[in-house]
Amino acid sequence: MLDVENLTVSYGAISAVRNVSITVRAGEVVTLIGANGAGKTSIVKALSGIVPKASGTTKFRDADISTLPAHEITRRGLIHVPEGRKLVPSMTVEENLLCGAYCRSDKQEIAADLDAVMMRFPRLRERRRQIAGTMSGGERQMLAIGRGLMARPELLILDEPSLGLAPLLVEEVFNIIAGLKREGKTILLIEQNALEALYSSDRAYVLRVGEVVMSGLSSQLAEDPELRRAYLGVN
Amino acid sequence: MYFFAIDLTQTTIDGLLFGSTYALVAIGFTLIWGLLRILNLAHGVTVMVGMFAGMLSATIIGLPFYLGILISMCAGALVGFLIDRICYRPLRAAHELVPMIATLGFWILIEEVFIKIYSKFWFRDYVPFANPFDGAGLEIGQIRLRGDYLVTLAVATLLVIILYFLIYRTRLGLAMRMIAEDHDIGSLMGVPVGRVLTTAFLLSAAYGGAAGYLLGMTANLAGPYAGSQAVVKGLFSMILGGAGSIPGAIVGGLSLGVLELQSSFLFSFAYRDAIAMLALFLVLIVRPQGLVGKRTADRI
Repeated sequence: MLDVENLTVSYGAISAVRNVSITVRAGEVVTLIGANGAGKTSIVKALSGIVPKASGTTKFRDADISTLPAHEITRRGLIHVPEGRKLVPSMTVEENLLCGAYCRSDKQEIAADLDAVMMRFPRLRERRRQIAGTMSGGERQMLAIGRGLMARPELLILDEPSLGLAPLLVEEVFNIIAGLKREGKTILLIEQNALEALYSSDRAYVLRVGEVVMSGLSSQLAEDPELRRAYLGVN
Repeated sequence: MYFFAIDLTQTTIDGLLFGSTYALVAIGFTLIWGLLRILNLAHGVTVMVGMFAGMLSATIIGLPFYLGILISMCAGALVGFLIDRICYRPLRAAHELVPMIATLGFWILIEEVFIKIYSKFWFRDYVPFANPFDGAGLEIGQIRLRGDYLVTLAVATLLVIILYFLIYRTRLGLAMRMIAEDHDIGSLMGVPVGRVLTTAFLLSAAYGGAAGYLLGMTANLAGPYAGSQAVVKGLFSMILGGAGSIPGAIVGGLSLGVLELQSSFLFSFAYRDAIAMLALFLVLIVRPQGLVGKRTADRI
């Protein structure tokens, strides 16, 4: 579904990502793990088109999207739920969800999806008229994921969904991801919480200062002694 | 004392009615500030062009009011389009001060060129602007509501209602509210950000054009320095009310209208601007975010 070849992302003279190649197949949950500054966020920002790619090609559903502007990439179903949620705090919960459906014009289907998202996250239904800026971190993350789902993603990119949440809520976020996986959604998950990310994904890429240093099945990587010591901080 | 109270009320009402033109100018500033965080210093040009388009249609051709104001809005929007294409689009990747300086250059260039052309045709500082509502009015007890002021308020109110409808009830508005928060949010939701910003420039400039018509009509005059004056009044109103806030632009504009007329009435016309500036100064000490501005949220 997604084929990234030799992606390089630079900010001025500094390259944050060098020659990274990643593949995501339909129905898979793939995770990018690595320490802070490893280039995970830069990769997905480049994929969704909000930072420029210095080089490399991106194929999405058999079409080259390397040079498309961000809004065109979104329209093709590559939906990026960004780090830090990026909600509109002055809008209500419902308005934020409708932002996700901005590209769609099928009113009845949008209403049905709105209902489905609120079914999935009952908290959002309770708070549909509440201003998003007044919600807790966990609720905001649910709203951000719900907004992503409103776009009917072909591929859902979740960038650090558990960042800044209390342990109980981190658990809940990974439950949500497990639920999406059961439904057969294709997901690219970016996480600092590497062990949890490995447990909830099929395959993984391990990044270190802008390069892929390991990749493979998540279940095997989770058992890899070197990885556990070097990147997961567990023995 | 009785007559003083009547005059005071009359002045306040006139100030509120006339202040609606300032509110329209301030809305143009605040829209662009809210979406782009740049002061569009070229905004006064839209007012000046709107005023002269209005003068041509009202005085020289003799078109009716409603047509004239539409022409002024279109003329203003054309200027807005140029501001977007010349001052903003090519420079959007640069630091936010760069497009602002470009709008300053645009303002000075257009105004100077216009003054050269103007002085070829007319040999005085002002040309007459036909006012079809001159002399008309409404008497309520001892208070008289000037016809042209009432029309001005009606037009401004209609334009504000249209703006609110656009922002809170349409897809364009949804896109603008996302972009006002963060351009990336818009892009990630599939909004063609550049196109929405062009629309915002057209919209704010059309409102500037309408303000130009109304300012010319109520003064019965059109002058080539109208743009510079509008920049001062519009920025003042926006900052007084709260930068980036539409209710702020309205409150700021109406307050400036009242402030100016009251200071002329109570003190002297000569101190009008000084008193208004003093008031702004005092307000900003107490409320740096303006009268109704919020510190973070609600940028448009």
